[in-house]
Amino acid sequence: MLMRKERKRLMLRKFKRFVPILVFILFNIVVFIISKGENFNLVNIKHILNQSVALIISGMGVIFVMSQGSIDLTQGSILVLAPLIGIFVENIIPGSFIPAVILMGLIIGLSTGFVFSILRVPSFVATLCLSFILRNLAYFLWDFIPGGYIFIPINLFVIDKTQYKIPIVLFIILVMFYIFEFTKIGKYCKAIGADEKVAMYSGVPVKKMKILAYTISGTLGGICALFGVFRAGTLALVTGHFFEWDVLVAVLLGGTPLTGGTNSKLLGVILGSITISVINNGLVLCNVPTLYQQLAKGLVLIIIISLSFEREKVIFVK
Amino acid sequence: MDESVFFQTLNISKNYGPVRALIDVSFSLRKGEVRGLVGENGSGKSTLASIISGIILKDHGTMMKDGKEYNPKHIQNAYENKIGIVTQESGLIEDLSITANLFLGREKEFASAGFLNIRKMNEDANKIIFKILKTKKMLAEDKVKNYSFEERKIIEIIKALYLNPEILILDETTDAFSRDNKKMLWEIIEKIKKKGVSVLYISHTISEVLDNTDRITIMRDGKIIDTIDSHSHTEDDLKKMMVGRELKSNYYREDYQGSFNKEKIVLKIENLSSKNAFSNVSFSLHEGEILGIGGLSGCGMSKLGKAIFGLLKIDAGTIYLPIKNKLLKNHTPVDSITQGIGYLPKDRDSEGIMLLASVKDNINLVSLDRIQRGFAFINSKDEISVAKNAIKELQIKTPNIDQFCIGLSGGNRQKVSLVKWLVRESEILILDCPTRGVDVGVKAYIYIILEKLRLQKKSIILISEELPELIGMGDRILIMKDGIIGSKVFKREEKPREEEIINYMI
Repeated sequence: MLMRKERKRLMLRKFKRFVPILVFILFNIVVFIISKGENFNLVNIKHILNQSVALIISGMGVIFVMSQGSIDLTQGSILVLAPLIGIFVENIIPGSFIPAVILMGLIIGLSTGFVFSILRVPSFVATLCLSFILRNLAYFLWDFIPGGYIFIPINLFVIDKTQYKIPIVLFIILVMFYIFEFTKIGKYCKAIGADEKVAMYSGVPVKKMKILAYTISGTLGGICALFGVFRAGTLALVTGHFFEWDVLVAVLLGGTPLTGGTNSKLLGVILGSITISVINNGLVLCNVPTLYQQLAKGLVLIIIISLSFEREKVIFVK
Repeated sequence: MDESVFFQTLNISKNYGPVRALIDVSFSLRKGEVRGLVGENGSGKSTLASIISGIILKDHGTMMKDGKEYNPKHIQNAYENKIGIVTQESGLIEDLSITANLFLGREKEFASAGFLNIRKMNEDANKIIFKILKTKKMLAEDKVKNYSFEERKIIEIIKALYLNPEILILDETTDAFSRDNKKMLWEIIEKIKKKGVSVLYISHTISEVLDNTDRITIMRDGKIIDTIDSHSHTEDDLKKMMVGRELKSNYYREDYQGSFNKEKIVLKIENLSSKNAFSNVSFSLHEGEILGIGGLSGCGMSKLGKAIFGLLKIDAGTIYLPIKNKLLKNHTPVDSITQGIGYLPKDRDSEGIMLLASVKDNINLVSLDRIQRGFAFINSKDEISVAKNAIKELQIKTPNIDQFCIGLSGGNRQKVSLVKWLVRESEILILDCPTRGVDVGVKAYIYIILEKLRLQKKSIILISEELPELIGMGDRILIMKDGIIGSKVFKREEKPREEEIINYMI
């Protein structure tokens, strides 16, 4: 009797693991029917992957912060501020656009880390406020752009070509995977998420690790910004609006809980990012009115997250 | 059936996956008796208590109270049936006042027209506290987080008593109590016993259970071994029944004579002071020595351990490592660990181990910089072998190395908390109450480990509230009182007696 009950429970759990995937497939079938198969042609798939690249790169950095149980909401504003300052620097030192943007991301991340860990403000509040400040800084600088119009060095646009982009993205994924899963840095981050006090008592340099995580997050935000401008060819004040929330959801969809800890999964970010891009893309293909797109996206995401959430492993849902 | 039995369980079973926590447990309680419940960690004591109080659900079996079937679905059912429990874990909400905690869920009694009469609540709470404690040490308006662990447990006991229970279950809560509070607790128990309340007292302090209870139930491996009369048995009888084999009553090495290297000082503390904790502490720790530091809880010895490890701000004085010629100043745990110091905290669950991380991750955490190879690479094979060796070495009972520590019993958690420093091969170990809340079996085992470490020429600072432990293990014993270390040093070769040391503590 007991054995059968146990087996049934195990079966159910195994089945549950596939439910989110089923929902995802179902969503695609619906889109397939409505869009008359447009979502599965090669151009569209390429388009989806292109879209997810931004989320993947950003998410690879944000997961360091999220595995500690904190949140980074500055990603969207980095997307506009870092390239903007890059343009200023390029104007002074020609040819320095790429390093300048990455460095700017790094600096923003570093200062976010300092604000968060030195001022001891909860990460949600700290980074939310910072994202307002950073974006406003962009508004302010906008009026002083050299020459009065956005100029991005044209010779750099080649980086958006597939043959360069794919290796670069793969390289970033590999490096981040290595740091997150096979070095002290990643393991310390997860330990902080699992129990900050115990981590401190066990010799984890908690403050340093927190600042480092934001620095990594900011740096990758900078890299992500580069791909963004090369793809769009320009920069707008609305660039990256709400982007931070998509990154957050991508990491969550990848299986990392909001509380962080040892269950954080870096490779899950890829899966989460692609899922979000597919949903975004599908809604456009289905001609869902812009007015209702956010609604539909929210509904699909909450269904998938609630189904894939491993409740057994989490005691408190916050 | 015995007429006076008013609560009983019949063939209760509980499984956690393949683990059988309780097997056909039949247990009965008379009205107005004080019953002790003893057993090793993981023997099923807490599971039984949790089932009786509705915190977890039984798989099979029935429970009867007052001749009626009693089948609690959650802890509220237990309250309704006048069964109160104080658990091992904290049952209070830290950010609320004592009053709010006491009356949690019963606020309606103080409500009129949709508003709570907070003043009346506080007045009543203060009255209840005063009635039980007879002092005004606690203020009902204060937040719970302003009180120490021990005081919080007292608040929980007051809360349980306020419900006017017919059965009161105390689950290992009082093991860490100071003498005064224990005395007070037993007076309270004596009083409620006269009113017909039955008390189920779960504890590892066997002598105390023997002295204060009417009868004692012994559990082992999820079964009840026997229920005996407290007055006609000795401590050794009980231990034998708990472990199921002969256990030497004195697991300390009485034959051992302090033989540490008196010439080689590994740690020198001079005039160390920290505000509101301790002042002018000076001592030296030698190679291969177990230096005992004893005192009442709250005397500052725990804070001293923290300060040496770098977790507490030091206002004056020096910590010096002569062999490495290194002065630790404004140091953090990271610095201490680099210098070969390890620290086992007193509060195992919130400071010692990450409950929501695997046994493997916990064991490896402090040694990651040791096992990393070129390019900062940490091979998961190394991690696994380190964890497996550690588990074998200390006989940690866990289904596998990926088991989250929250699923381990108290004794095994303690072993994980200790073993990470052994893996790290720390030269100096600061152990704050290493045998707190563990059963005799694990306790004896930890002493064997300390003995081994001493032979390996490691130096240990053993902070403990238990005198037999200090006398049994320490090469020298220092006593701390109100933040000051007494000038009297108790040496092993002089065979200090408990009665003698106590005088210096109070």
